[in-house]
Amino acid sequence: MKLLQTSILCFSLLSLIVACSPEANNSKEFTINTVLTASGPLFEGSNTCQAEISSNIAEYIKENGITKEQIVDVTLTSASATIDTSNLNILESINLQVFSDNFPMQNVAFANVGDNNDKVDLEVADVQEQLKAILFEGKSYIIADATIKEDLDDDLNLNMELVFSINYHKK
Amino acid sequence: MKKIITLIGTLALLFTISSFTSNPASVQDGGDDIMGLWEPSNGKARVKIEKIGSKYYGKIVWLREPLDPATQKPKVDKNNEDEKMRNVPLRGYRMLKDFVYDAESKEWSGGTIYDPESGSLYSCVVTMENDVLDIRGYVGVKALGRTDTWKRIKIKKKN
Repeated sequence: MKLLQTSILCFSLLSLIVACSPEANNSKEFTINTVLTASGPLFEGSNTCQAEISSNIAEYIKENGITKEQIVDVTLTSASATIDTSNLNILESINLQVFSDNFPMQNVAFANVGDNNDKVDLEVADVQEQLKAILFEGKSYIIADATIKEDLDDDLNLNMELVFSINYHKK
Repeated sequence: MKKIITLIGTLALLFTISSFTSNPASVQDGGDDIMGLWEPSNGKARVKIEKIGSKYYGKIVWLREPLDPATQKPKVDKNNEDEKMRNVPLRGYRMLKDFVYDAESKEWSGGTIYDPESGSLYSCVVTMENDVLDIRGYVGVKALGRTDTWKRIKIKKKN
């Protein structure tokens, strides 16, 4: 009898913990399109393509009836880069990073670039932290360290499409 | 009245001139002095420190041994805790991140240093004297860290 009582108590407690934990059971897709630029002339090796963005994620969730408090996390689900035809075959790899003034830089995606690819799908990192904080800060930075095979006289432009998943729980 | 107008005009002119000639705060306070090319004491790599936004970052731009002896391919971040990021090349890797300059203490702090040989990340503080950087990496307590000395590499500009 005592064992049964203890079991019921444990089960109730576990149910309560699970019910109260902020597990996300809903998600919305949020896309950022931006051009990352490294101003030429550029030398062979790693060059920094960057863009300062003002994310409108706050407006987006408001339009969708979601409050910031409901959001459990924001994760990058896909990242792709379209390369200008003039820069085709010059790129070796792209390492994508994001940060803001108050939150540290983190690697979020990477790709080795093959020849004749004008569109590259980057592999997204498993470990992603503080993206919610970074995107909600207003001003944030997206950086692509682009390794190029040879010197380039012109600018290097990467047209990036970043798709984020906003994971939230119901009110 | 004419004197007042002349005075206001002069002040406005001086203000305009100073606005065009003054530099951003970080240039004036010495924060940007850290920018450039540096070599750690072991001479295995060269790191370019640059500024993005208001923070400073250091990227590996040269490796004495760029190829992994095991694979004979360019070295990658094989010790990264995130398996998907283990193909990121070490050449171009940002091993110094998120440093903010404090003009009072003359330190670049609040950042991290990554050791690609072990995959470990440390808190880090940087000081500079006479083109030499003291890079102190630590876990938790600064006093229990280790300091490495980096020297500046001067590059001759192409004519």
